[in-house]
Amino acid sequence: MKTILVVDDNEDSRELVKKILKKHGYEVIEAVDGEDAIAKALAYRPDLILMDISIPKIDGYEATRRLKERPDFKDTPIIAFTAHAMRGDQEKALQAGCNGYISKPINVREFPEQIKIYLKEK
Amino acid sequence: MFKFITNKIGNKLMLTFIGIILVVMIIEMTFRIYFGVQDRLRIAEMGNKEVMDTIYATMKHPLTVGDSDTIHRDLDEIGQKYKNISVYLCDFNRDISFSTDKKVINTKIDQIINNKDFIDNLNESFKGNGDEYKSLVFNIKERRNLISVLPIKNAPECFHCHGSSRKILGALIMKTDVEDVYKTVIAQRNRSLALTAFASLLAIFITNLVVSRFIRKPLSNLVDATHRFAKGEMSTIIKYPSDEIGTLTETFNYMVNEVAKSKMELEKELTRRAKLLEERDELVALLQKANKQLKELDTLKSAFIANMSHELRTPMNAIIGYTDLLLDEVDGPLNDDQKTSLKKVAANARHLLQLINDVLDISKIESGKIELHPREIDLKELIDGIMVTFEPLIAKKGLSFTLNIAAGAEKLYVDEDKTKQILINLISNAVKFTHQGGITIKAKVSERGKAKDGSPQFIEISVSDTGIGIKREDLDKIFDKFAQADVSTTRQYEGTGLGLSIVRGLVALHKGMVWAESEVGKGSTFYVLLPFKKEVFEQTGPVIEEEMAEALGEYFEVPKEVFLQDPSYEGKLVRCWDYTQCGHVNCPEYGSPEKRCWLVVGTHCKGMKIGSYPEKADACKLCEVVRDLVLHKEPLSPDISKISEKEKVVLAIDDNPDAIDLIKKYLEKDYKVIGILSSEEAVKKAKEIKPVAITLDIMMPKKDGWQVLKELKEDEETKNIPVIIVSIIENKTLAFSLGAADYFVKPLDGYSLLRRIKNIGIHRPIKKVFLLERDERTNYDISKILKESGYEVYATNSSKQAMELVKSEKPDLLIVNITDPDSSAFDFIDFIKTSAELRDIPIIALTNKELSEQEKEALNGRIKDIINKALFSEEELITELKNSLKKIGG
Repeated sequence: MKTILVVDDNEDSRELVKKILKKHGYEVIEAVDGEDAIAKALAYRPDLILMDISIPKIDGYEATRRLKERPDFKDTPIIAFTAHAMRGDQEKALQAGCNGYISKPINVREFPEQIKIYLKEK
Repeated sequence: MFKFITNKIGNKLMLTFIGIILVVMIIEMTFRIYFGVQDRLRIAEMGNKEVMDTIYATMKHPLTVGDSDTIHRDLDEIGQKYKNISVYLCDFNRDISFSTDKKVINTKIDQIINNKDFIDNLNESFKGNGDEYKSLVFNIKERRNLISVLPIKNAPECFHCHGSSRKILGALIMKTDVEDVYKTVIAQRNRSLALTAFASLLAIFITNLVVSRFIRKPLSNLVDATHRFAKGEMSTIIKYPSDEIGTLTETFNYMVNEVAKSKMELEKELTRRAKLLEERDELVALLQKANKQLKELDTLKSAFIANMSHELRTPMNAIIGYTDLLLDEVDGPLNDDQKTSLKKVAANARHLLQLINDVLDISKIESGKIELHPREIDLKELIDGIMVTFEPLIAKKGLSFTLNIAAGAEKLYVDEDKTKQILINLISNAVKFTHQGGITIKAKVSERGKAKDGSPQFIEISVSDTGIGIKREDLDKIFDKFAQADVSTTRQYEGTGLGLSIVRGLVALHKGMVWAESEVGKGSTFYVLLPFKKEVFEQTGPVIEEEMAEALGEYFEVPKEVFLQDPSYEGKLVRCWDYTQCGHVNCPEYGSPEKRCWLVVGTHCKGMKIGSYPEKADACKLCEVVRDLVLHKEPLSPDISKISEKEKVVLAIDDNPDAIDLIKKYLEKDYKVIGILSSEEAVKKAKEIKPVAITLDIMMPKKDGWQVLKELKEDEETKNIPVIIVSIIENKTLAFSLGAADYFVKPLDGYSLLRRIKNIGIHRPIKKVFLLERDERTNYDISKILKESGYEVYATNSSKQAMELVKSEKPDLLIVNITDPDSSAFDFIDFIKTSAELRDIPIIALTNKELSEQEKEALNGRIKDIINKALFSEEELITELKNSLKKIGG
């Protein structure tokens, strides 16, 4: 069973993603801010991290950067997961080291497919 | 010192002058002395000769005869007569025989005239033949003497004593002391010299004065001035005489003036520049500051938009996500009702999300936040990329899709993302509103902005569908924000109403155009012009005016000059022409194969600039404007004589042709609308046309609507025409008090206006008559007569009661006696006229006296008739009342 770390400060959002992912057979770990995200990532070694960008303490870009600096996280896909719709957000995320970009609101039906692709299950 | 003399013209002149005088003096002296002495001597000599001839003549005979006494005596006489003369007669041995001086007789002449030259001369004379008379000057005892020698020739009468061998016997010598002559001449010379010297000095002095006065001083002034001028003294203006120096000085002064002027201007300019520079620096500093602040603000704004975007979308995530989850029946099965409800939640949530996205896009476009990154792209690739997303839906709906790119239109020079957004919007609309048939996308080279024989500037892309279509009158509005063609479509077809606004904004950023054609039930075609070349972004004005004029002239078959002048349209200047495919449905050229119409831009079009874009060209009645200009037609006010009797005419008075056009559109089915832009002509036109109603704007230049309303209501011919105010300002009280029939505030609700005007035309048959009359007697009489005539009568004598009664009974006619002490009847009329449901009830005013001007004015336009009771007998009053009722329609 693959483990996915969902980083989002919005509980509803987190719950929604958790529900979908669980339904598709993933183990879900939650983090509420940047620091929490790094701690949980190090502790649980997830197979994929869904990283919200606008999160407290350390923002998603920075958390991604810090994780990606470590050799043991080099191959862990970190997917930016944000409601930002401004031009350049996507580029910024990729620059920070994210492997992909899923914009909120998610499409419930397409979302598991996207995860599968990032996990290279498809 | 020498230099001092030579470096001044005056000195040089003086020196030359003095030199000349000196030379003249010397020459004169020399000549005077030389010729003076010579002349004197010649005179003396000539005198001597005469004397000697005389003496000789006198002596000849005595000498011949040897009469010495006579000779002595004669010589004595001469000696006594001429004191300075001594006469000697000597022989060839130079022995003196006779003399005026007795003492020297028998002495040698050598002793008296001891001069070798003389002796030699004398001896020479003795050898000659005795013809020569000689005269020479010799110094004798330091006195100059003129010695004249007359040789005495041997003659036959002398042979007896002297023989004939000698030719010359001796000589008569006369010595004249000429020392005095010399002295006189020298004295004369000295006097003359002194005189000349004096005259010369005087001449020098005067000349010096003259030279000083006329040359030296002005020159020195000029030189000084030049020096001062050279040092920068600009007020160096000097007086000048009227000669060449004067001219020179004048010229100098002029030059000084000019230079001073130039210098002053230069200094002024320099000061101004310095000031400007200073100001500029300040401005630059200010601007930099402002710029910094703006940048900060901009950053804040961007952050705000980003935040908004984030904040609005975050909850949408949960809403849409959970709804979808429920719909997927993850948490268990749902019944049909629940499903239907949830589907509605999901649809609305998606709509809201789209709205948020579109609003953000619009705000970005409007705040200029969107930056284009145009580059050359391949149109087919772009459309293929887009179509991938639409294919499932198109397939699902069973629609066809055709793409047709004409040769030459394969490439665009655009921002790829934005163009994608434009096309996605258009295609999604086409797919959304089409249920059968298909979607066709075509691309071709556009004529727009293409100069004669020039290369194309734009590519025209059209997206056609066979969908529901758009009504002609709605075509103008579809590009406006939140304006879907029909309110009902919004419900049926989910959409934000911002898509086409975004399209228009994005197209405008590309300097292109967007327009649409449509037919209800048959489908719509949306056209976009997008740049073909990089230059499009660099151009400021697309077409040269002259070229445009030429093209317009050709098109309308008139000389191009028509368009080069400033034509006036309805009293307003129109200038600047542009042609373009406007695609506006109201354009006369709309749908023509060439599809090219003319946009007039200029004052008439609210300052639209050449090359303005369709989002600013609100209405293509502009095309009509051009046409009317060229054909000299009255566009908004059709020929009155052509109005048939049956046609019901509404006169629309508004300074804004758009407003008139709008009214026209609303009323055109039922009424002929004649528009007047000039409020000054309103009353005149109203009299001519006699419209069934007048719509009147308030805010108009020159004469405002209030004035027009007042004049209409004051004029006997027009006072009964109902006037409906259509204005942006709201002042119903004033309008109704002036006699307006109704009041509409812009934006105009056209259907209400139509309804209102229709109602005006219908006169309700008068059945219920209301009477307010304080006088019991009159009240009773009138009530009775009316009742007898078949009217239902409500009579009262109190205005307060009247108000309630009128409200509850809604009579068809009010008869009001307005002459009451507290003028409460006027209050009653005010009450009626300000009430929406009552103000149409006609009022007949009864009075007991002639009304004052003020009272008449207060009633102006608000009552149908005034009947002065005092003028009529009771019977007449009733007849009058009946007439009045008939007039109103009872």
